[in-house]
Amino acid sequence: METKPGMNTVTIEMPEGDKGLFTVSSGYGFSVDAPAGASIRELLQKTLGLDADYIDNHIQTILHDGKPVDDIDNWKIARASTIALSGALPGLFGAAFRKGGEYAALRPGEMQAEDAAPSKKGTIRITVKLFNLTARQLGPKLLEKGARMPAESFRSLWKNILKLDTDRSLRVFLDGNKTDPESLMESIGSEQVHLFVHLLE
Amino acid sequence: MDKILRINMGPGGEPAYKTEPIGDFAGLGGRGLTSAIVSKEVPPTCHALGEENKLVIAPGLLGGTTGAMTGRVSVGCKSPLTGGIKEANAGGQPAQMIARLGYAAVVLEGKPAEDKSYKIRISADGVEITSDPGLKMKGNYDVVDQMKQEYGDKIACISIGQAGEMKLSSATVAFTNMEQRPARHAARGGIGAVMGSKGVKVIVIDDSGTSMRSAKDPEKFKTANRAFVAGLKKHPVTGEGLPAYGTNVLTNVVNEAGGYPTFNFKTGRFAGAASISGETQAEMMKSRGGQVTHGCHRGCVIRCSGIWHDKDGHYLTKQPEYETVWAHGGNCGIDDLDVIATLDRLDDDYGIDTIEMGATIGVAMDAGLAEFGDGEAAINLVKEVGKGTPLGRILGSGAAVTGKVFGVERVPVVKNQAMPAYDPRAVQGIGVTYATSPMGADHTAGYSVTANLLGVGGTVDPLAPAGQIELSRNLQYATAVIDSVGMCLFVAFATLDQPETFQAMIDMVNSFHGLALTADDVVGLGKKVTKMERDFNARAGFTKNDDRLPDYFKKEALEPHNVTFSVTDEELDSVFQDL
Ligand code: SF4
Repeated sequence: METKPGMNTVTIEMPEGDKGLFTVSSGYGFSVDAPAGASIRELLQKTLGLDADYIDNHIQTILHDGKPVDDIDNWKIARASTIALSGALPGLFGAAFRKGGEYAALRPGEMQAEDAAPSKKGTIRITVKLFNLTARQLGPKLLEKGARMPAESFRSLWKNILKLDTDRSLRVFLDGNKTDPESLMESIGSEQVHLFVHLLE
Repeated sequence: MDKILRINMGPGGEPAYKTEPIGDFAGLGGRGLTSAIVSKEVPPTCHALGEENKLVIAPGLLGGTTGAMTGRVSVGCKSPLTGGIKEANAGGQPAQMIARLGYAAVVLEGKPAEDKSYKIRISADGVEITSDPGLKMKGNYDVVDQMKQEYGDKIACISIGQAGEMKLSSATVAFTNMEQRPARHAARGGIGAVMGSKGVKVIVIDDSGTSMRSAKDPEKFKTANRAFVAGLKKHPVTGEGLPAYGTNVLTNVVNEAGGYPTFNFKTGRFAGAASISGETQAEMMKSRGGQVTHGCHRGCVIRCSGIWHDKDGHYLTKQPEYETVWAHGGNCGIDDLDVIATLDRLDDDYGIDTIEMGATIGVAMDAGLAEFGDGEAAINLVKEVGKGTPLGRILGSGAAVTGKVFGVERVPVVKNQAMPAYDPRAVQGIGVTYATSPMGADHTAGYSVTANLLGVGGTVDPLAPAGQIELSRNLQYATAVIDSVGMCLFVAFATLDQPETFQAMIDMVNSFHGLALTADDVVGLGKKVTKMERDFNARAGFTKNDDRLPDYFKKEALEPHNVTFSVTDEELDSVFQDL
C-alpha cells in the first residue's frame, strides 16, 4: 500500500496481567530523541528514566549498533544509532558479550572499540530495543507514555500480536477511532507509528 | 554404579550380554567414562559402522542421586560423521534410571549377523534382548508408544528413528523426557547411525524396585546440594533468564550483535529474528496453553525447556531450542515459529540432529534445491530424509556430504560437523573452540565458563590477543568436567560468578563418593578427558590441518561489522600445547 509521511497513532487497551505484548513489541525497537554526545548512562538515566541500580545490576548486556559496550560512562552516542538492552544471557556468547568484559577476549578486536564520534550537536534519534527481561520490566512504562516506531516494524510486530491474541481481548484504536485488529495493518498509511498501550484494570 | 553392562549384538549370530565390574574405569562417569572406554577399546581406524565400534551410554558421576541437575547422559563412540571420537549429551529420564540400576555404563558392541531390529529391556531382573520386526522403520514417537503399551508407563526409552536405521550421519539417539516423549536427543556426530549399525532400535529402562543412590556422607551431600540449588536460583541466568525464555533468549541479542548466521552464513543479521525470538516464542506458547518453563528431566531446577502446542492447542513438540530455531529459522531465512516447530518434531521423530539438518538445508538452498525463506520446501526436504529417498539419504548424511554432492563451496563445517548458531567471525573465541574441539564444530565443547574460577592458567587478560586461545582451552577442560559429573552445562553460569556455588558442586561430588577433590584435581580430570579424546583422533589420522575453519571465514567479511576470522593457524595449534 502507499505510504504517506507523518505518523499514525495506535492505541491498544489490553487486560492487566497480559504483558506478552510488551515483551514481543519491545524487541522491534522504539525511537527516542536524545542529546548528541550523551553517554550511554546519560541516555539510560535521563532519556529513558532508568535508575542506577537497574542499569548496573539488571542490564547485563548493552549493544550500541551491535557492538558490546563495557564502559557506559565513557561511551558516547554522537549519531543516530541503535541501543539494545538485555538481561542475563546464557552460554559462551552471554559471557563474552556481558558488560564488564571479563570474557571480552572472545569477541573480535573490531568489536572492542567505539566508532569515531562525529562532532554533531543537537538532538539525534536513537532506536531503543529492549530484549527479554528488560522488555518485560521496562516495556509497560515506556508504552504507557507512548513510543514511536517505523510503520514497517509495526507491521511485522502486528502480525505476531495477532497470532498471540487468540481470544481477541485487545481493543485497538487508530488515530482515536476503534478499529478491527485484523484490518489495522491495511489502515496504516504513514511512515511512523506512535504506539500507546494501556492496561485495563 | 560399580558395574558395566556389555551387550554384544553379534557373537555366534545371537546377541548376548554380560555384566562386569567397573575395574580400571572406576572414578569416571559421563563423558569421562565414554571417552575412556572408546579410546581404550575401539580401534581408531575402524569403520564407524563396523563391528569394532562401540556405543557407550553413561550417566554422570552423580547420576541416579537426589542431586540437582544430575540427570544428563553421555553417549560416546567413533563418529560416522567426523571419523573421530564423539561424546553427545542429552537430558531425559534414562540416565537416572540406568544409574539406579547400578550401571556406570551400557555398552553396545559387535554387530548382528542379520538385518534385524532388536529391543532390549534392562531392569532389576536382568536384560532381555528380543528381535521385533514390527519396529522396523518406525519413528521415535511410535516406537515409544509401542513400548509403553508393552511395558507400561513407568519405563524410559532410548531409541532411534528411521535415520538411525538407515545409518545416516546426522542420526541421533533419542531419550524420553518426564512425559515419556522422545524429545531429548544426544544429537551430534551421527551416533544414532552407530546404534542402528548394532541393530538396536530401542532400549527400555525399567528401574522398578530400585531406589535413589545414597551418598557416603548423606548429611554433607544434602547440605552441598541445598547450597548448589540456592546458587542456581539466585543467579540471573539460571534463576531468571533461562526459566523465562529458554535458550532462545539468545536470538534477538546474537542477531543484534551481528553474530547470527543467516542465509547459510552469508550475513550476521536476520531481518525476521524478532518473529522467532525467545520472547515471541514464550508468548506464543503461553497463548496456546503450552508450557514455557519445563525441565528435561526430574531434578532440573533451572528448567530451560518448554512444551510447544500447535495452533489448535495440541502438543506438537518440546520448545525448540535456540540452536534449532536458528538452524531451521534464520540460517534458512525462515521466520515462522510454527514451521520451525514442525521441523523440530519431524527431526525428533526421524531421529535427526536439528543443527546438522538445518545447516544442511541451508547448503541445499544455496545449491538451488529450494529458496531461502521457503518453509514448506524445508519441511519437504526433511520428509525426504524420513522416506529414505536418494535425495533424503544425501541430506541426512549432513552438510559436508550435501555440499560435495551439489558443488557448494560455502559449507560451514569443521571435521565434517556443522557449526552451530554463532558465526565464528563475530565471536572469535567460539571459532577457536569450533576449530580445535576433538568433537568437530561444537558450541558446547567450550560452553562452560568456569575457567578462571578453576584457576587454570590464572586470570586471562581479556584484551590480550592470546586471550581467545587460553580461554577456549580452559573452557574446553571445564566443560569436560561438567559433562563427566553428569550435570547440565547450564550450571556453569552460576559457578562462574559465585565461588560458593562452584565449591558446592565439588562438595556434592566429594560427599557422595567419599572423596577430597580440589579444584586442581577437577581441572586435571578435564585435561585427562581432553587428552584421551585428542589422542584417539590422532591415532585415527587427524592432524593439525583438521583443526581449521573453512577458508571462507578468513576471506569473506561478515556484515554488519565486516569482520573475518583472524585467529592464525599458529595460534590454533597452540591451544592444546600443554597436553
Ligand atoms: S537447564 Fe535445560 S537442558 Fe539443562 S537439565 Fe534443565 S531443562 Fe535440561
